[in-house]
Amino acid sequence: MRAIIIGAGKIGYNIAETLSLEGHDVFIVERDEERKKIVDENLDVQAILGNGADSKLLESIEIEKADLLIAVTENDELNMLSCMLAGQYGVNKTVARVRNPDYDKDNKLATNPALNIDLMINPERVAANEIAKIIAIPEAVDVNYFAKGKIMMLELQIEADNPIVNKILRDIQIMHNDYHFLVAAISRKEEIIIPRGDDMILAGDRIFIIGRTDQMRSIEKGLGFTRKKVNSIMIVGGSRVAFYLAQLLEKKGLEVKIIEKDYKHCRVLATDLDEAIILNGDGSDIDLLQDEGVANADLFITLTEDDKLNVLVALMAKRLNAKKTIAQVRRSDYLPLLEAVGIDVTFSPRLLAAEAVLKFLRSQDFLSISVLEQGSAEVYEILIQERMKRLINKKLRDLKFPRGMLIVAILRDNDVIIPSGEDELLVGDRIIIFTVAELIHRVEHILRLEV
Amino acid sequence: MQIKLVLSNVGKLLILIGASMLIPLITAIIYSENCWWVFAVSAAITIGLGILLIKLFAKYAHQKLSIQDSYLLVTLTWFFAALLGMLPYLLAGTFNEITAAFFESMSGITTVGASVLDNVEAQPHGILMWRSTTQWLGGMGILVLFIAVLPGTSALQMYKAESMGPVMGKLLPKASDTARSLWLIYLLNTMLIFALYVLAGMNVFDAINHSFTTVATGGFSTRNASIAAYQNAAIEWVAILGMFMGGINYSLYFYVLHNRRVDEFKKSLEFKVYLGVIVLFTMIIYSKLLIAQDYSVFTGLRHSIFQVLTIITTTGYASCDFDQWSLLARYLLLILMMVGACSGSTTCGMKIDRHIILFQKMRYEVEKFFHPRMVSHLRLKGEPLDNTIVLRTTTFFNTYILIAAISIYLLACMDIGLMECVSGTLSCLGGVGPAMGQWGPSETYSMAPAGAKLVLSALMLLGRLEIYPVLVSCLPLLYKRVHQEKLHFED
Repeated sequence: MRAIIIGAGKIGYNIAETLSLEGHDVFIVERDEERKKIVDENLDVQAILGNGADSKLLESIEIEKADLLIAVTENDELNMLSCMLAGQYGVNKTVARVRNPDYDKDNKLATNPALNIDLMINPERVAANEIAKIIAIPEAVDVNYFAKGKIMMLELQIEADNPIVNKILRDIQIMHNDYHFLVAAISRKEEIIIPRGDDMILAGDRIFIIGRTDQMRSIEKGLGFTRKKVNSIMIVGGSRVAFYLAQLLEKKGLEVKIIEKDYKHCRVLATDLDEAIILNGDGSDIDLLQDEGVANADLFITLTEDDKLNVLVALMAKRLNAKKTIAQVRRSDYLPLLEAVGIDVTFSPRLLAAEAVLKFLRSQDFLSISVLEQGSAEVYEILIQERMKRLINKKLRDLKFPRGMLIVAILRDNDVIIPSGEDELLVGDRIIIFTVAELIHRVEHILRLEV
Repeated sequence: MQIKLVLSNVGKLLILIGASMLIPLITAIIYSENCWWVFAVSAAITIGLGILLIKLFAKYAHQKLSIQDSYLLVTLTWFFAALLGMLPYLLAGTFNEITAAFFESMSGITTVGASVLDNVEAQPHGILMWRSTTQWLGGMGILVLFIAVLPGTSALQMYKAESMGPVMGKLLPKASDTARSLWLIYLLNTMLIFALYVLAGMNVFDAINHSFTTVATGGFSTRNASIAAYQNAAIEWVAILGMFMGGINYSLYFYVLHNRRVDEFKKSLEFKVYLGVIVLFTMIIYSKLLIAQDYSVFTGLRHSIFQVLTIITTTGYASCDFDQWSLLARYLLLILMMVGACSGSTTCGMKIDRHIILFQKMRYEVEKFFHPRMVSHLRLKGEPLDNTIVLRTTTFFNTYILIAAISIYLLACMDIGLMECVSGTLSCLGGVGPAMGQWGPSETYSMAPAGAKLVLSALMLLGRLEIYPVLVSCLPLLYKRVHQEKLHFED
C-alpha cells in the first residue's frame, strides 16, 4: 500500500513508523526542516519538505497512485484541504486531524462529500473519551469493550494484599468457576506474558481479565476488587481535553472541578459547561488543592500543556491522598516509567490519536482493535467468514497458535464463550484475539492465508 | 446632555402622539358624539407644540443622540405623552381635578391600567377609545414605533433606551427593521385577539378596545366590572390567551414567524420559568379556592389562571373580585406583582430574566464561600453575563425596593391604609393596575388624595421605563457636580 502522511508531528510520526514496519510505502510531507530531518534519520520512509496542500508537490510523489492520505498537521484547515485535494486525485481513503470542535461535531462540514474526509480525528476528544471509559470503572487501569459491548476486558493492578497474589491461575479459575472469565495476559516489569495455567500472579502485576460485561462486577469481586463509585473529580488545567471530559462527566451527573490559571480561559469554560466548578488558580498551589478537597477527590487528573507540571502535580495529589491520579504526558517515551513512580494512569493524547487512526485503517479486516500498554500488545475482534477455511471446524488446540497469541473469547449467537482447547470456531463467530506486539503481523498473515 | 437636540426629537415624537389622537376622533365622528372637537383640539395642540419644538431647534436635528441623550429623550417623551394625553380628558370634563386626568393618562400610556374613572360605561366612545389607544401605543413603545416609521441616525440609541429587560435584544441587523417587525407582530397579535373576542361574543367596539388593552397587557376596560362584566367563559379564555401571549418575549414570535424555529420556545429558559411560575401559582391558588371559596371545578380553575396571568403579565383585568379571596391567595398575587413576565414582552415590572440573573448571582455568591477562587458562570440565553449587567441588575433590584419604600412612606404620610400603601405601590411600580383593599379590582383609585395620585403616577413612569432612563435624566439635576461636568447647555 502507498500512503501519504501530511505532518510529521507526534501523530504522523507514530503512524508512519507503524505503517512502514508493516511493510507499506510511506511518504511523509513536512513543512519544518528539523522535523523532516528527524524522520529521515529514524524511519524507513520518504520525507518531503513542503506544504501538504500543494498539488504540484503531491503530484511529484505520484499522489494518484496512493491508496491513503493522512493529514495530521497542527492546522485543521490545511488538513481538510489536503483531503479535498486527495479526493481530486482519486485517493481511496483519507483521514484528517480536526481539533476545532466547531468543525468536527454535528457539522455539515464533517459529512460534506466535497471535503472527501473518511475519518475526522480529534485527539483531544479521543483522549477525553478514553479517560471517561476509565472513570466508569475506576479500579481498572484500562478498559476495553468488544462485541458491541457484550465482552469486556479490564486491566487491573494487583496489590500485595490481594487474595489472589502468589496463586497459580488454574487454582484461581477453579475457585471462581461460577463465572466464565480468562486472565488473558499479565503485564510484569514492562513485559507482556500470555500466561498458562501454572503461571503465578505476583504482587505488582497488572492482569488483563476478559469476561462478559454483565458479569464483570461479580468477577472482580471474586478476585478481590471492589467497584468504587466515583463522585468527585478534580482536573488541573483547562485544556480542550478537560473541556470535553467535563462535558462527558457532567452528563453522568458527576461533580467536576477544574483549576485553570488563565482567567479568560476560565470564563470560557464557565460559560460552556453547565455544572462544573471552574476555579481560577495555580494547580500546583498546595493550599488551593487542599482547600478544594483534593483528599476527597476520587479522581485527580492533570491536563495542562506542561508535561512536567502534570507529573509533579499528580504526584503531589497522590501524596495529599487523592484516590486515583491520571496524568497527561505528551512525551510518550516517559509513559511506562511514570506508572512505576506511582501515577495510576498516564496517557498521551497524540499516541491515542495515532492508535485511533491505525484502528480505522485496519478496520476492513477487523471489527475492532485495541492497543494495550503503549502498543506492546493488541486485541483484535474478527468475524469468522467462510473463506477462512483453515480456522473453521477445528479444535483450537489443533490450530497451533504461537505462544503470545490467544483466542480469549468467542461471541456466538449472542452467547459469550470463554474458549478452551476443545472449542471449535464456526462461520459467523466473532472472535477476540489477544496478541503481543511481535506477533501482530502473524495475525494478519493467518487471516490472509485463508483467502 | 444636549437638551436642545433632545427637545427637537421630542417634537417629532409629539407629532406621532398627536396623530394617534385621530383614532378617537374618528371613533367620535362614527358614533356622532359631540365630543369630537375635544380630540381635534388636543391633536392640534400636541402637533403644534411638536412643530414648534422642531422649528425652534431645527439646526440640532441632524446630530446624533448619545445614550444619555436618548435616556433623557425617552423620559421626556413619555412624560409629555402623559401630559398631553390628558388634554382630551380635561377638555371633555371627564375629571374634576387635573391630577386625576394626569393619573389616568399616565396609567394609560404606561399600560399600567390603574383607573380613577368610577363609571366607565357612562363615558362617550371617543374617550374610551382614547384610553385604549394610549395603552396600545405604550404597549410596544412609542420610540420603537417612531423608529419603525421614521428610521434615522439615532435609531439604535432610541431602541436601546426603550428596550425592556436586562439586556437589549435585536432581531435584525438594523434597529429600525427590528422595530418594524416587532410592531408587525404586535399588529398581528392584536388582530388575532380581536377576531377571537368577536367570535367569543363581544361587540365590535368592545372587541377593538379589549384587543388593544390585552395585547398591550394594559388592562383598561370599557366596562366598570372589567372582563367580569361579560360573565362569559369564552371571553375570559380569550383574555387569558391574549395576556399569556403578551407576556412572552416577542423575539420568540419572530423566530417562529420569520425563521420557522419553534424550538426556540423550548430553548428559552425565561419562557420555561414563566410557564412554571404560572402553573405553580395557579395550582396553589386553585387548590386554596376550591377549599375556601365555593367555585365549581372549572370556574375556579379559570378564575385562578385568569388572576395569575392578569398580575404576572401586569395587565390588570379582573374576572372576579380577587380582593374577596382568602389571605393566602391575595398574598400570592402580591408576590406575583414583583415577578413580571418575560423581557422583550409588552409587560412592565421586574421581568423574569432579571430574577434568573439574581438567582444565579445568589447561587454563585453562596458557592464562592466554599470555593473562593471559583469563576463566575452566570449566563443568560447561553451567553456569558458581563459583570456590568449583573451589577446593573442587582442595583436595579435595590433601587426598585428603595423606590417602593419611599413611595410607601409618602403614601403613609397621606394617611393611607397599610394594605393600600403596599399593594398600590407594588401594583403601580410593577405596572399591574388594580391593587387590594380600597384600590382593589372592583374599586378605583378615584378616592386617593391628589398627592397620592402624583406619587403613583411617578411610580408608573419609573416602572414602565425600567427606572434607569428616568434616573439618568433626573439625578444629574440634583447633583451639582455631575450637573457641571455632564450638562452642556451651551451650543
